[in-house]
Amino acid sequence: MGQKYKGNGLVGGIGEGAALVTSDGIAFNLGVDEVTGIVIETGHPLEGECVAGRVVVCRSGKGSTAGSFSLLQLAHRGLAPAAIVNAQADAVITAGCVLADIPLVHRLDTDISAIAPETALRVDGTAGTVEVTGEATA
Amino acid sequence: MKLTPDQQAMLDGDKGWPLQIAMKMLTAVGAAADAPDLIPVTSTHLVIDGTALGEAGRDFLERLVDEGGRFAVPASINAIAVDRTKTGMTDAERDQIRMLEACEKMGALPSCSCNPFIQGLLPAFGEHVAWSESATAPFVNSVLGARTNREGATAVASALTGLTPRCDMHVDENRRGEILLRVSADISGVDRFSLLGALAGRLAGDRIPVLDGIATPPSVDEYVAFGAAFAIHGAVAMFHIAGITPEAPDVDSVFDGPPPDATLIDEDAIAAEHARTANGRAGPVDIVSIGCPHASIGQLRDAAAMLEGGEASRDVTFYIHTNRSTWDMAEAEGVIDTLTGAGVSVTADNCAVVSYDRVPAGSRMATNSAKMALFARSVSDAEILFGTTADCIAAGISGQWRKA
Repeated sequence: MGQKYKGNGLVGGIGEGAALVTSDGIAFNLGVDEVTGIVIETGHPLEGECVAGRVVVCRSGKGSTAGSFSLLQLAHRGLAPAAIVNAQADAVITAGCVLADIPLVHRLDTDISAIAPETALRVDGTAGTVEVTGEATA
Repeated sequence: MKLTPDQQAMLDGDKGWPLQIAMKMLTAVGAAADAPDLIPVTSTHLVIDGTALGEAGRDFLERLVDEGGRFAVPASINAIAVDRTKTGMTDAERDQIRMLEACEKMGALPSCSCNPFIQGLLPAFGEHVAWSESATAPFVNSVLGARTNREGATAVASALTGLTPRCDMHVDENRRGEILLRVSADISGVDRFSLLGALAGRLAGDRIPVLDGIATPPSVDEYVAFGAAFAIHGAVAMFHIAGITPEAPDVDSVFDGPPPDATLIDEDAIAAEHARTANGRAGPVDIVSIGCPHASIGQLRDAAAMLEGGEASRDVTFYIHTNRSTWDMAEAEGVIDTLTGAGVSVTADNCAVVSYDRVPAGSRMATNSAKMALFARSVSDAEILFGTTADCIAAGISGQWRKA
């Protein structure tokens, strides 16, 4: 508890939620249902999980470049992630986080696998920090 | 990132919300890619597919218009999800038209095609542009020698500002070959180039491939088929063909250092790619889809010649997809009459997959495009029958796929 990681902030703002962690990339277009927020990509490590209100920790974006608008659609339905943390952010997630006002941090001073799933996190996209604020809740 | 005072003013909101949100996108994407600054672009190509943008995307584009957003550089539009001339549109289809109209109000050309090259939209060698639709980037970079990244929403930001981050494909050092593919298979026709593109894309992953062994320069139709399949099966925005594409005079000079060991693409590899693409067996056909990417006037003429005297089976939905400007040329020549008279549905603006009408689940679809095959399988769990344009047309007439 209290561990604070430093990275590069790409999209400002503060987001808090339980960590949803994968070392894989996420395709927000066609890989996540924009009506439910549930990961639907067959065989994805997070298949069946819902991104709404979570701090999504993943390698990068992947797949169709329409994924930026998928993040905007999720936000319109109140199903956006609270924040996103990437090992290396790509243009799809980065532009999507700007459109949907989702804090985004990448290149932490630790491997993203160091973040335990379900850990309560506070992401500051302006300062570029990720702080552990509680034990895993699940 | 280093910004000029004018760019900083846009980012600070001094020039209105449209330029501010655009600059926020470009500076964030540039920071993520370590771009030192922004550079001017001369054109943009925008994906506004309503099935991907939804109501949220509609509201975004209309807000840009309402708050005074205007495109600073030419902007063409990718395929949209409905034929503009359709009567009796659904609410979602009307939303798609609203998105198109919003872009037109900002100055876009309503070209509505995933194959803008056959519409005369051709950036020249060395031009920096911002084009979305993954299929366009390999053609722009590799065939034309212009420079674009695989853009998404960022293309709208570039249209508004006339700028893009200086990174990736805009930097000469990032355009060099990274893996070598030696092609011993004899490749001609859009179907074979589409299979080669799918295989090259998968082998390349995130590395730029150099193809060696292709003796004859591909036609525009073949390049377009190759590039679309290449983009959807891989992650890079560029390929080289040694001795043919403009930045690859020969194998040795396209690599930094000695060329790496080659991966062989022989007839067996193409046959394996065919088997991977086509999961259907001989038998009845539900749908024929030709024109992914949108068919050129030459492809429409060829199809009309092959159909002359024949008629599409009543049991088959027979599509040839194209864009409005090519449709108009074909109509003037009488080609549209020939095709529709034979029972073919010649669609403009959209296609079987970029559409609110979903291909019925489990349909048996004949196509000559590895990109169409991949999408029809993933969206509608379609059974794919893959062959030449002539194979697809024969299946449309007989209602049967006769190949094994």
